[in-house]
Amino acid sequence: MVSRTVEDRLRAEYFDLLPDIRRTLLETETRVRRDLLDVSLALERYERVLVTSRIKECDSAVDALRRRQPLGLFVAERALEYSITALPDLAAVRVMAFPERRVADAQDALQQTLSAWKADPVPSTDGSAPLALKYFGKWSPDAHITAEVQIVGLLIGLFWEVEHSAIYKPNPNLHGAVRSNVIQRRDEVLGALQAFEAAFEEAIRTAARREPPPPDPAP
Amino acid sequence: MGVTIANELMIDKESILKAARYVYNFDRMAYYNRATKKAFTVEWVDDKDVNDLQHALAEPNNSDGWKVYADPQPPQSVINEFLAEING
Repeated sequence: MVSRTVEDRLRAEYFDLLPDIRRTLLETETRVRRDLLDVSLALERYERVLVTSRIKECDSAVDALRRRQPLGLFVAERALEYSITALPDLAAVRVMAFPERRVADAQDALQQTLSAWKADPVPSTDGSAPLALKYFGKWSPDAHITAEVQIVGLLIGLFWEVEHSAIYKPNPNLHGAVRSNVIQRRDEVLGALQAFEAAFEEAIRTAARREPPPPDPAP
Repeated sequence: MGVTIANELMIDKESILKAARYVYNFDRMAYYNRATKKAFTVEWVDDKDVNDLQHALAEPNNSDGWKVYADPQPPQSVINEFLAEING
């Protein structure tokens, strides 16, 4: 009988866990949306709070775990030591908000729910405030699946939707070409998006200062 | 707009590796050079500073086999698989 490869065993584990992953995603998204309700109801016409969610696909999960090993290879003799549950982002929810102050509002709204989770902010391109806030955690001590909640500006979040799948998913056309040139351009885009958000925020503040005060109530 | 300090350093280290004729293998996340018979994992390069890298590049490989700079050091079976791939 041919023995299963590490990858085969992990794929089987993934599909055994899939109902758990789905439940974790449902719970995460529901809790996040509940916490964001007040923020969402208070939005101005030009403001946005979007909540997206995704389950990491099987091959992507196996590949992510493989890439965490030295030289990106599993050791067949250690097959039983590997588990898909080591990945912190099998079930992930992303909160994207615009403008910047709504990112802060979303963070405040979620603070209590995520207070016990591990924070792992994404550093910015210029050493200023983090590009995004990431939290990892479980909803109960006996849960198998770690969930991820990410809070990020809408413009950067939408850019990441394209950029992550282009750069980080296996893509033979990009082999060897992604490290310096593309990363440098990516950082320039992220810097420009941050600058746009800051300028927009400033424009709103300026406009608010120019608005005439409300009329005095009639005596 | 500037890049992060970490990225700048990584790009700097990449330039050093490129100049020393190391090739990057995307799947194995490692730089290697068949002439010097040395390989560096990305994690190792990320963790070490430029001086460590330059020292490692200058270090002679006195063995007949390959020298793999990785932390933790992968088992020999993994190194063999990697070498079979790049020599294949």
